[in-house]
Order: sequence, then structure tokens, then C-alpha cells
Amino acid sequence: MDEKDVSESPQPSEEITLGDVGRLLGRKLKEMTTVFYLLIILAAASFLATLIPQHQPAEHYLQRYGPLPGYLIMATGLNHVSTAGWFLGLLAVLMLSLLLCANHLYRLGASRWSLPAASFISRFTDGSGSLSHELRQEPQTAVQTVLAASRRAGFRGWDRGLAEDRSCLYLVRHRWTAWGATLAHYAVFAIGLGALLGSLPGISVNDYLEVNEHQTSTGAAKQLPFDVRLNSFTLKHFSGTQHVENYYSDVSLLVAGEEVRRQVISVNQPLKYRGYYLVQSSWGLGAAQLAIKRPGGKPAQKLEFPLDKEACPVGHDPGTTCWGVPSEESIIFLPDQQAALVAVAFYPEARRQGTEVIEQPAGLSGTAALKLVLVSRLPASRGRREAAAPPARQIDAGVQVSFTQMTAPGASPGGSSPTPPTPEAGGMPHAMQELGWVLAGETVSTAVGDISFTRVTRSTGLGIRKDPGVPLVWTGFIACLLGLVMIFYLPLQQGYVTVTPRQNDPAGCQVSLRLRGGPLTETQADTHRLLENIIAAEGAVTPPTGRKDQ
Amino acid sequence: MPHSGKTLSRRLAATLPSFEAMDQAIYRTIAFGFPLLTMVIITGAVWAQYVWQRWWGWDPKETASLVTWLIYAGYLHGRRNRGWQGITTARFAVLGFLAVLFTLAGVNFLDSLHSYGQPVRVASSSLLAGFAGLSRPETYLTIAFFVGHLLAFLLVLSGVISDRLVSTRAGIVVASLALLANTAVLILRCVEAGRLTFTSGYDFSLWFVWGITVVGLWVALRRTPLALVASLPVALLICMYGYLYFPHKGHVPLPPALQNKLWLHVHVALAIFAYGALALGAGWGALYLLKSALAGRGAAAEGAVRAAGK
Repeated sequence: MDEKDVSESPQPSEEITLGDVGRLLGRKLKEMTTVFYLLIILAAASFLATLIPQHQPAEHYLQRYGPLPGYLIMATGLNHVSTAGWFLGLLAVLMLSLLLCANHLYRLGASRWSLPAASFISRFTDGSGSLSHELRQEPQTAVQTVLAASRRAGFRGWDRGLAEDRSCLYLVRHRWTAWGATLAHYAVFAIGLGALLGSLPGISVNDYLEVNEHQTSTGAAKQLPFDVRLNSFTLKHFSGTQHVENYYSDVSLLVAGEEVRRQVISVNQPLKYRGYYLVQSSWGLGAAQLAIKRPGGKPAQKLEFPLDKEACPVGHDPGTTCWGVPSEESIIFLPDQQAALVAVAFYPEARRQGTEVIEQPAGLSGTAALKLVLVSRLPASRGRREAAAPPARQIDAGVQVSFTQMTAPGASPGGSSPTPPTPEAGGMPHAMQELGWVLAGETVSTAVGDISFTRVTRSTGLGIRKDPGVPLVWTGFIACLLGLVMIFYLPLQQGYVTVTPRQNDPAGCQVSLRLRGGPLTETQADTHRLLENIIAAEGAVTPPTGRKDQ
Repeated sequence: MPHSGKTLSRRLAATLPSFEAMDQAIYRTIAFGFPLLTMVIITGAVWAQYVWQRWWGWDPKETASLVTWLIYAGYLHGRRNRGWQGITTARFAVLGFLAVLFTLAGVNFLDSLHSYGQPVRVASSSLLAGFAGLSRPETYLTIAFFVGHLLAFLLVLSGVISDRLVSTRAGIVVASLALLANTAVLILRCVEAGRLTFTSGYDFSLWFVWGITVVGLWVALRRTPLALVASLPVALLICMYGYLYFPHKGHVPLPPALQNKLWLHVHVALAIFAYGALALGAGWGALYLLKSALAGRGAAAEGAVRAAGK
């Protein structure tokens, strides 16, 4: 990207052709200034993306930043920078410019790889920063002395012939690292290309699947060639603490109903199937399962209250999880018994203390608890939608169950959200039995039979990924590291030496030496060291005559 | 002494290495740290791929480290192609390190996969409260290493200003002892936790300071003791951040994602040295800017004196 290497555009003709525009664009793209502005814009955008929460719902931005700034953030795509069109566009431009720079650096590497001509070496050793010394050797012997001494100092040397009457030698250390910058730039290009490949919809997949225990999630909706069944889910805590050690999902992959793979997935142990990776990424609760053992030897009836982590009372902090039964699904009608079972509250983990049930923090081996109310003898209620006049009664401090909820869900059974009192209508005969807290594994006797809270099923959240860009990215990573190590830790060092015969002394000559090399090498000190090596090889004891031009 | 302040600043300006030498010193730290920083980002990406099958997720820490990388990459290109040297180098070293600090500490206040153990938003007001819950040996060693850093800084600074070799040497010895105390604290904590402690913000600040002091001492012994004047203030700043903002210094079990020991260790070990080198560069940068400010003021004062003389 050195300015001096930017190729000149052809002389302007009367007409500006498309080729001219292309050349101009190509030149602009290669310029450092363009790359800098691009990098600054991209860095600033990335920085903003760390400050502004990404991929949140619109209300979040409007609430947090106010209507106008919130709207501006969304209009400019600052709420999803990494997928915003302008960001990807600028990235693409940067990639193109990177490719052009890499090509240029390739030519630069080639020029450094090739051996310089004798005339160049001769000119170069006359410049500032070179050291000279008189050797009492014939020029031909001196050339051999220099080559031998530089070999010992780790340089490879070539006799490049004569320029005027001087023998010109070229020395080089870490010659192969002439390609370091080229490699690093192609590497970053490869990483960018891999990233692009991995973000293209259609060939890459970055999805999320939630599966409840003993249930199957169909993959068709997400264009996956398989369904996922969760056989069981285990959560393991560090003993005696709330800290999760790991979580394990025993899953089966089904293709056309046939199990093609069964494996336990945990964090750090994904399932791999035909380029897809299933990664353990979250977990939750599925449903509270109950069973009613009805009198008269009828088969037990199984019931399920689904659980949701957003069953928070009104005014709760958004973003916190409150596991509970969603209000609209908190009533289960038992038509043949003319009764309804209502879930009033739920604790994921709790324990009994005397007559009380106390919620426990997660991980301290508590048991799930469900607070139930049984409402029975409903007149004329044969189905969900046939509710009679709405009976309403205070059941528990501040919690009210109204049968209008069936058709107009609104109140949360899980907590403290108040329902406006509904007038008792018509004095319909009904009985309300507060069953209180039932812990998982416990059974309560009621008029409709023994109701047992069997268990709480869990759900697993699986990340599903397919990224065909990864091999390219990996290659880029390795090449990038190699390139940077070459540039900074093993810098190319080139030495230019001339051996000039002394005019009136055929047995003596003058050796001039100049090194140039990587930024981290102390070139001047190295030049000194090499010269001392040469002097030592010659067997002379006289110190260097001094530096030129200094 | 009426002119002691001016004399001190002039002495300090005279003591500091030449602008060229400092420019070279900053460049060396960045040229050493940049490939390491790249390795930190790459190992992080490879690790993320193993855990989540997603090598890049625009997590705040990832993004912040990318921004840091871009700043240093921009500087290296500018130096090579535009001859950015001198004060530009110093400014970039400071700017880049501010980005490092943001990566390290700033993102803890954002929602990030890397937000270590909930730092407090406001530093603890009681200075000694931070030692609550630590064993007695660890407390004493921690105090020794904090005080050692401060003492070493003062000794080296006074040594180079007054040109007293004894004081400078004493400073280097104290800094080495402080490093030993730091190492002992780290070992104690690792033994207590039963593993390498790489997960809490406090622990990482200890490792980070360890890296800075190692790099600072290395350069101080090989080149100039002034490297300690450059690096120790940064180390002290980070000590204080870790100490004050993470009041809970107990050990928390590793969350599942961090249980991949190989990548965790490689990633963090590289980060310690990369940030150590870049911190030294920032210290040099600050000294460069200081010298340039002092020189500027000196030149202005001289001009004024000359004008008054006429």
C-alpha cells in the first residue's frame, strides 16, 4: 500500500471510459486514506454496537433512549449493526480494498524475494548508515571471508557479481518472511470471506430450538432436515451451591420418524450431524404434570399446566425470569366431573417448613410446588366456552379467580396482579376447595379424586448451527498468525556489501556494509556486529574505521 | 525553594529518554503486543466455536477487542506507510490502551458473556472492606504487593530524577519483591480454588497486573529502569480497579462454558502478556506526552524570558 507503488493511471483522454472509472476506484481503494476512513467508521460502529444493546424489540429503544433517538437508532440500523446493510456494505468495500492491498503486497514480496542487481547493491552501500572497513586481503578472498562470516551470523549470502570494479554481495536473513505482510493480508481477507459465507442465509444456519421433555420439535418449520426429541434433561449443580456445573440433554434426531442418532448433548459437547451442530445453549421448565385418580376405578387422568418463564406480575423488571403458569392456561376443566382445577401460584423450587411452603433459590435441591384451587359443581358447564355466570371469590390474599378468565384471559394466577372484582351473579351454586400448596410427588384428596403433582418436566434450548465458512476462517487464522509472526518476530533482514579493491594495493580492499531490515531489529547495532564478525574472520585486530555520513 | 516545581519538571523532562528513544520503545511494545493481541482474539474465537459453534458473536467483549485490534493495526499501517512517529505514536499507544481498558473493565458494565462476577457500579467507600473474606496470609501479601508497587514506582522515579543509582536499584528490587508477592497471592488463590483462577474480575486484575510488572521489569533490566516508571502506574490503577470494584473476592465455580481448560488457559495467558506489553506502551506514551508538554512549557518560558530580556 505504499503510495509510491500505486500504479499511475493512463493519460486522460477526451472521453472518460468505464475502465478509467474502474482504475480510479481501484486506486482509491488501495490508498491508505480510504482504508483508514473505512476502518475508523467500522470501528466506531462496532464500538457503538457494544454500547447500544443489539437485537432488542422496538419498545426497548423507544423506552430507553426516548422517541426520537430511539427511532433514529432503529432507522440507522444501530440496533443491529452487524447485520445492517451499510455495515456489511462497508465491510465488503474493506474486503475488496484488502484484496487489492494483498495483491500489491504480493508483488512487493516478490521483489524482496528476488536477488538485487549488483548496481543496486553498489548504490545502496554508498548511502547513509553504512559501515566500512579496510581488509588486508585480496578482493576475491575478502568476498569469501564476508560470505563465511555472514553465514555464521545467520545470513545467506550471494555474490551478485561486479558493478564497476566492486564485487557486490547480497545477504539475507529470514528470507521467506518477505511474504509475511502478503500472507497476513490474504489471511484477513480469508477470514472476512469465511465470515461472509457463515452469515449468508440459505447455506448457513444459526437457529434456536426449544424442546420439552418427552416431546418432539419438528425441524421442518426451520428448514431443518430432522426433528429433535428430548428424551430427558438433567441439570447438575455444584453440590450445595446454586452454580450450574453443566446441563445435559439426551436427544434423538429423527428423520421421517426414524431415529438416526441419539446422543447426550452438554455444554462443550455438541452433536454433529451432516454439517449441523446442535449446541446446548439454555434450559427451562416444560410443564407441571398432574394425575387424578378418579373414584370408582376409572383410569387415572393426566393433566398438564404449561410453564413459562415470563409469568411475572405486572410492573416486574423486564428481563427477569419468573417461572409460572401463564394466566390464560391456568385453568383446566374436568368436564365429566363438572369441575375446574386452577393453578394459582408456582415455585420452581420450594420446601415445606411446618405448615408453610417457602420458595428456595435454584440449585438448593428444593422441589417444585404448585398452589391449586378446585372449583366444582359448575352448572351447565360442559366445555371450556360454556361457562355460566361468572362466580368470583377471593381465594387467597389478593388473588381472585373469575371464570370469565376462560374467555377473556387477563389476570395472572402466579402472583399479585389484581383482577377487578366481578359481581357475584345469580347465586350459582358452586363449591370452591383450596387445595393449598402441593409439592411435586405429593397427593391431595378431593371430591373429584386424588390429585397428585407428578413432576415438572424440563425443556432444553438447543442452538442449531451450520457454518460452511469455518474452514476458511481457520485457515485465515493460522495464516494471519504466521504472517504476523513473520512481520514482527522474524523480520526480513537484508544486507548489502561491496568489496572495493584498493587502487595502489592489490593485497588490500575496502568492505562496505549496510543492513536494512525489520522494524524491531536494531539495524545499526546488527551492522556493527556483522562487521565485527567479518573483521574477526579476517583475523585483523584494527577496529572499524567509522561510519560514513555520521 | 520557590522554583522547586519548575526544577523538578525540568529535571524529569531531562531524565526521560529522548523522543526518538521513547518512540522506538512504544513501537517495540506495540509490535510485540499486537501479534499477541491477535492470538488472544483468535484463541477466543476458536474457543467460542468449541463451546457455542459460533466463532464470532459480536459480544461486547469481542467487539471491544476488535476495535482495539483495529486501532493498533491502523497505527502500524500508518507508521509503515505514512511515517507516523513521535507524538502520533504516543497518542495511539494511549488511545489503544484505553480501548484495552474498555475491553477489560468497561464491558463488565454491559451485558456480556465475559462480564465477570458482577462488579459494583460504585467503588467501595471503605478502603479496607475489600479484604473481607480473604485469609490472613493473602491479605498481608496483597497489601505488600500493592504497597510494593507504589514504593517501587516512587523509588525508581526519585532515583532517575536525582540520578541516584542506589534509589533506582532499590526500586527495581522492591518491584521484584512486589512481583513475588503478587505471584504468591496468585498461587494462594489457585490453591484455594483448586484450579487456575481466571474467572472473576478481581482475579483477572491480579493476573493483568502480574503481566504488566513482568514486562516492565524485563524491559527495566534489559534497557532502562524508566520502563518501571511507565508501567507501574498502570499496574497500580488496575490493582485499585480490581480491588475496589470487586468486593466479593471468593471463588465461584466455573460456569459450564468456561470448563474447557485448554482454551481458557491459552486465551487468558496470551491476554496477560499482550495487555502487559500494551500497558507498558501506554505508560511510555504517557511519559512521551508528559515530556512533550514539559518541553513545550519550557520552550514557552524560555521565549518569555528572552522577550523580557530584550
